[in-house]
Amino acid sequence: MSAIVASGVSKTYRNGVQALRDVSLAVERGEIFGLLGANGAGKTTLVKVLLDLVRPSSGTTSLLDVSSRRTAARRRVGYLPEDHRFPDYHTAQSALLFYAGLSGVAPSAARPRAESLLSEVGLDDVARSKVRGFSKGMKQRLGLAQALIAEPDILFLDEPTDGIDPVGRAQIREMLEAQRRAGKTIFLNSHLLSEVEQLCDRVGILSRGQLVRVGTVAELTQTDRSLQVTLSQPPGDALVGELARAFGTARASGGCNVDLVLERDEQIDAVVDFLRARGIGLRGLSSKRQSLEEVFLDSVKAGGPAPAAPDANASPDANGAGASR
Amino acid sequence: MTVFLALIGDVWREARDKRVVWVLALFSLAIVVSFGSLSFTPVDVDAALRGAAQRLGELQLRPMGLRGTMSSSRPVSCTIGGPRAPTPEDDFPLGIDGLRLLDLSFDDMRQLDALCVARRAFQQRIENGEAAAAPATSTTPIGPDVHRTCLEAHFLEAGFSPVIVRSVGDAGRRFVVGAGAEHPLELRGACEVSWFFHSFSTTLDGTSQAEFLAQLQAGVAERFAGFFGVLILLGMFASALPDLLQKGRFDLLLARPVGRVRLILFKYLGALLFVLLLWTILFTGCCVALGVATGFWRFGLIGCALTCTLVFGAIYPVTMLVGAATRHVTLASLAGLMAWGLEGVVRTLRTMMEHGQIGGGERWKPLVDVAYWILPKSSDLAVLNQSILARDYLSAAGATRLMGGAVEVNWWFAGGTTALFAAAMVAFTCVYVARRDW
Repeated sequence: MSAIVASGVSKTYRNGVQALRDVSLAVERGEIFGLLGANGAGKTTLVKVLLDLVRPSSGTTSLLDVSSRRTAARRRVGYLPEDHRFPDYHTAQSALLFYAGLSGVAPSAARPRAESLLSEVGLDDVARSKVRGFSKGMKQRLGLAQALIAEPDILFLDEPTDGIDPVGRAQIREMLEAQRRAGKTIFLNSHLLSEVEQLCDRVGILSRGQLVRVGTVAELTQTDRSLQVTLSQPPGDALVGELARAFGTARASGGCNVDLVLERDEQIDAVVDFLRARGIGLRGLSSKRQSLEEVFLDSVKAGGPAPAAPDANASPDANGAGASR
Repeated sequence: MTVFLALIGDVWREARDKRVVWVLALFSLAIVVSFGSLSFTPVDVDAALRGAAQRLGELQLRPMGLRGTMSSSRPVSCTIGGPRAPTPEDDFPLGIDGLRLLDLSFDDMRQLDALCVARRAFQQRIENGEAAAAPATSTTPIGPDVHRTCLEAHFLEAGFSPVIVRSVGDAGRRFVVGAGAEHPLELRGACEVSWFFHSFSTTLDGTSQAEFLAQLQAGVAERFAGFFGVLILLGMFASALPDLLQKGRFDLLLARPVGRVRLILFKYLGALLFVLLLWTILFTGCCVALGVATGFWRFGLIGCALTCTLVFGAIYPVTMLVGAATRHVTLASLAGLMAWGLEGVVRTLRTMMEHGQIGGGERWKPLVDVAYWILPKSSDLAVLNQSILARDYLSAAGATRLMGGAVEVNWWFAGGTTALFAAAMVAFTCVYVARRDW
């Protein structure tokens, strides 16, 4: 049973912006799934559709096998929206107790949980201070705590480390790792590719509302039979020419390195034999990978420019989305 | 239940965070303290009876319940004898406890005639639902029965009960008034009131102790809670929904297992409960303070907390609806105030049309009627407050006298249509919020 399922989801806002186009996706239980996309690609809309904050034009979504349209689907869900705002009359503690109450957690159970979470996110010293005096980083930490207060099975996090210093980011990554170890499913929207690379089991790339790539980081960054060969000496043009004639594509890539593109995996042995036969020492042999950033940029370029996001300050009647994307 | 309590708690926390609620609380405390500082010193019944005779030329009727008086002063010169105890020669029924007699002798009967005509004109105007106007004069001769009725009405209005008036002698200039004090608290001019722990004192000339207390509490219920309070609370809660629906804040709520309709409904109920609690505390405080200070333990004012809350509960959803649609706090507040004001205008128009005071009003009457049926009935509910208080402090006759010409109101219709209006506005808000993408 998948934790999160989106099936053929499309969303066109009332102002005509097509935010999602036939997105299908399944996130397994206990998995950390990272969603990448340029601004306006539809990442937030997809999360909002999954949480029923935005109603899809077509398609269906479910959480833990319960249709997102049903209130019960959100019973075991925690959500940290991008640019979230807490009512400024709350203290850190009262805010957590309030959100716990909305999730149906009794105050007696919520109180110790809130204290523990505030301690985990480093806000225990300001637990009784009003939120209005908090910095952006403190609010972000509190946001993460509110997402975790009801001990959810699925976490939707939209830019969870936004505005947080590197030390805080490391702490949050550690918290998310702990959630993964506890078997929780995490759906992560982030611009920080390094964060996604470190945390996520699988990554999806959304471009112009379409899910263009999905896979593990290793799968996405793997290029087809590209091989980097490190020699004992810099390759001359003659050697590169011979390699090209023997195996197809070859080019010097600086220093003692030669990049090869093979047609079949079996050709790797032939390459080794080829070099040994010419008395050339072999210092290294690795399959060549793209960085996640390169994969992301390639995918976005292939998808074309992203549509303009609706104006965040637009009148609510001007479009159906407000600034929800 | 946990969800409900969480949302109610949130509404109250939000309200407590606003400074204006503390201003309201401070005013409320001042009112409770001022009630606790009251004390009454009764005046002798004979003095009250004599005072009533001396005020014979002063007409004071209530065309609109406790809201105001219709008064006129006419010179009436008469010689007052007594008060005295009845004797067998007076031929008054025996067995009426505390009956005192007063001898009145009029020098100029034309003055008494004019008084009788003015009184009749006042009563006719009240029956027709007209506001205060200069009483008419008449040259029609007035008979002795009319004189007796006029004098009887005057002493009944002064709070005496029973009242028997006899004409003495042939000239029709002399009368003996027999007046009992069945309800001493209802005697007008029979009491001195002290404020702020005897710092200020005044004699209640034109009103009785019971009427004074009912009017005082009606002032708190209508003017403070029903007007000033509603204004402040509307302003205070007007920002609640636009703030709630802010991007980033509403998301945090919608991601919880709570339906949108429930969120809006509980938010509304939270505000309503807050207002009900506020007025219940204030009104209970007033009643207790008054009881401790004067020994009058009456709790009718607490019932007014319900009507005051109902008025707020009917206007606030308009603010919610406009607040949800525009996310504009000022517009939301103005919409609530406009609905409130419109109700007053429609009610006045309707009354004027019913009395033919607007030329060609028949054409618009159906439209005005429909508007009246739809809109909340805060004016009618104010009359209900008066009625509750009048019945709390006065005898049935005294309450009727005090309420005077107040329009008869069908409470079920007034309360029911007001509640329906509120329910419709809340439903519109819920539908709007439920259907939108956030």
